[in-house]
Amino acid sequence: MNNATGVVFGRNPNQTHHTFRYTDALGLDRSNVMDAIRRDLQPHLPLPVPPPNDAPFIGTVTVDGMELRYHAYPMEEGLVNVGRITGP
Amino acid sequence: MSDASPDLKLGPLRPLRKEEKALIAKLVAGTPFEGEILPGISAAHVRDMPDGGMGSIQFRKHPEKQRFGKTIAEGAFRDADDVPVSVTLNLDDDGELLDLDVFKADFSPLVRYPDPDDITVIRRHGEPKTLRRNHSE
Repeated sequence: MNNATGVVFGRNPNQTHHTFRYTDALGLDRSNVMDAIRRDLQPHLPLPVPPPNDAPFIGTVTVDGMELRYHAYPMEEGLVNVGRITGP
Repeated sequence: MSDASPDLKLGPLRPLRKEEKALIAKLVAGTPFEGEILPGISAAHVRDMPDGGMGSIQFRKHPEKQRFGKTIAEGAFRDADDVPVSVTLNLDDDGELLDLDVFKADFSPLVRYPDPDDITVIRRHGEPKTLRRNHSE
């Protein structure tokens, strides 16, 4: 469910809950958030591995009029893990 | 719990650990927040967040009211298994400390809490000038 395009938002319910806790609080639909991030990430792929300074890639998307910032770590073989999404 | 559903609850309130304080001190060193956060941080109590063991902690006493405000500091380090880890220190929308968010690149549990010397501080966020907002907003 989470890795249709190689972009993963958590590997278990705890991690996924943690990733979306702020957007859930804003009432945003997780599918809309995931779609927006996947679209935004696409032109940047593949991200460099290892990431510069070990820091995650940061991108910005707008969902339902709210600007969100996401943090993504590239893994091997095209996989990208998104583990932090913060709201406006 | 009698079923296999995930436990998404925060942990019990506990004192901030020495290594957590050292990490926060490293993150805010030299920022406008250093003098505001560090004096009171030793007495802070936190709850472990249900993040799968990555080490995130929440400062708020009333988590049901949590609302993200802004990130005031960011750092990165390598865990003992050589996996990159990102940490951010966040305020809520009232300008109070909200959480220390830990995101390990592969989502696996943190193996070893970092020594402050192993942390690279990353300055790429806006630098708000004050810790607290004007509550008349």
